[in-house]
Amino acid sequence: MTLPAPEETSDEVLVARAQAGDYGAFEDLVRRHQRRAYAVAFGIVKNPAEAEEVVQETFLSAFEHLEAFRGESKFSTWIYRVASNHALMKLRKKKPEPHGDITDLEPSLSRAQTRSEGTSPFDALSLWARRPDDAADANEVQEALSSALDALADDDRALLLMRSIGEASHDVLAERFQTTVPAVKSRLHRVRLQLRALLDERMRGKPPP
Amino acid sequence: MSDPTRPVDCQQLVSLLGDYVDNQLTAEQRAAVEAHMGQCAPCVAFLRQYRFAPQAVRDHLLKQVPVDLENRLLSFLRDRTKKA
Repeated sequence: MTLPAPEETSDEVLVARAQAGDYGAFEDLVRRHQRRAYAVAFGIVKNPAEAEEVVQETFLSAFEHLEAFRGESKFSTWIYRVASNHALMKLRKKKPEPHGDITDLEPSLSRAQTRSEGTSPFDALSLWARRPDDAADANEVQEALSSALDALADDDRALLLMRSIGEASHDVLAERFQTTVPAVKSRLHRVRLQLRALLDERMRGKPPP
Repeated sequence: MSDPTRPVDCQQLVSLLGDYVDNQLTAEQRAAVEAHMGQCAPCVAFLRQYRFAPQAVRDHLLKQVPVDLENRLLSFLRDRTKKA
């Protein structure tokens, strides 16, 4: 007989306990969110040591500002946003902001859609392209993912990771990137299209656009 | 898409994918997208790639998390917050 899993204490309850001085509750929040915070940070800074520094700074900052947290957004959203901010700051201390002009994406999308021959722009899709989930663990796919991610502009990577790892809402993303919800939805769509095209290019062994 | 009940073509479908995967389409738009995909295998493949890429990036990055990160992080925080 299998016992039902114990109900997990919500972030809201843990935050309230931590704000009341329960350090164990704060550590539970750290345990719960450290992996995804690291993934967001590593996806942006692309360096393990720096990603770990970002995660340290993120949770230290969270501890120091815990009393000011009012729960207007989810704790997880707050943490991953802080992690992405620290990661972007770390990057910008090292190098100037790359161009990352999202309007550049239309030509690459057009190329991706028109390079195949035949009546449909999608005729030449490989077997991999038809069933990508089945190929996800292949070394070639993992290498292509890493390379494709590197090719995105820093802010676009942060946007994508806040959404796909941090599960940030469009409202949160619009606030973070100081734009409107329709604009952030459009930008997210374009970044996803670019990522798909970059991945496709790499899986086919073709040079990136 | 001015007429949400009108069938969509491949290019229109691509423009709707973001709202489709985020469940932001109206019921009529969703039905039009799914009707198109029911008869267009290349667009189904394109959708799979589009949906797969961000999920695969997330899974790829989560695989990079050091196994001992949690212990190091908790130790760092205890030290910095004087909770050792």
